[in-house]
Amino acid sequence: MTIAERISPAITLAVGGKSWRLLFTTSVLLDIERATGLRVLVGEFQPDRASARDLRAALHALLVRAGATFTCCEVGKWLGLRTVPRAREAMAQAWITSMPEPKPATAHKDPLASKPPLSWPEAWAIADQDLGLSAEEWLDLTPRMVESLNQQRLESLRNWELMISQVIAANVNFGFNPPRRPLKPESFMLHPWPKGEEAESIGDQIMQEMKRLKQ
Amino acid sequence: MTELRIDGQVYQLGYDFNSLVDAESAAHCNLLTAIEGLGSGAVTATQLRGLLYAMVVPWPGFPQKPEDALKALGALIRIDTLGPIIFAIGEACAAAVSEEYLEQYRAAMGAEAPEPDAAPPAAEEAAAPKE
Repeated sequence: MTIAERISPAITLAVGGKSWRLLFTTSVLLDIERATGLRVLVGEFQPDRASARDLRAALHALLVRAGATFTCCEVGKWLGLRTVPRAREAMAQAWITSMPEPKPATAHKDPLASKPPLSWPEAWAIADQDLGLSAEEWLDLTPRMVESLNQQRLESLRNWELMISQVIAANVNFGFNPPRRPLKPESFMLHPWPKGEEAESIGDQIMQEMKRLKQ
Repeated sequence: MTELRIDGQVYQLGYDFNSLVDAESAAHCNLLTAIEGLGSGAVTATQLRGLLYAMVVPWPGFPQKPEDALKALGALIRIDTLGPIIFAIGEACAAAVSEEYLEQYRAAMGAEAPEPDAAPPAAEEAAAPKE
């Protein structure tokens, strides 16, 4: 059992007298893209609105990942009008559990929102260079897991940046020619927290506790 | 198999998912949404022709090239044959689900397929010369 199967909710589909675990891993997404020609990273594949060709290709990729040896044609034979809704429902659920949570809409403009979607080589490069994943590990993970790793990396990076920024801010604010209004450490961060998501430093937490005790 | 009679010719229709997949490539449209839209009438002409191509059992002399076959089948879809064709496609889909469902479908649709040769009243009126 892979780590993705262990920590993802179990969505199964019974085909050919056996229950198969459905999980959209990177490998499955690449198989779907190769079979259908749809650009999965751009959002062209949607399980709930998939055509017959895309549904068959996606289900085949999912079943093969789970260890089945069905051919694409055999999967098509199994897809009767009674089983199509069941397959669609299971695939839609597996899709939701495998994909990252949609980002909440924020009041301020996200500079990353206007960026073009990732290409597969870029996604692989991030996995390899930033997340330190081997090709096999990356192929076996769901996009939700890769996103979690990326968020964790970003959080670590922000914490480091905050520590260094505090030193820089102290130097600037208490230097020979300090600014009229003291600069905040966040001003020197390369990856600042989005507005309203700033991490509380330990000092802040202590100050809050002290305030509470005073009251 | 479901029978479809047009101009005295009998065509056999049947549901097969793999045929749907092949027909989608030829017809360039989503035939699963077409099947879903059959009940509500939300089917485009391209989808209807694609569905007919996916479901019809090839007869001797059936065009080998998909585009030729689509044209041949498209010629069968006329105002007077539209009703019987949609009914037959629906019947073939219902038969693929179960016998019971097929019975329900036939009961809901009024037991019999509309006669292809009997033009709907509106069409007859339109075709009649005005005095």
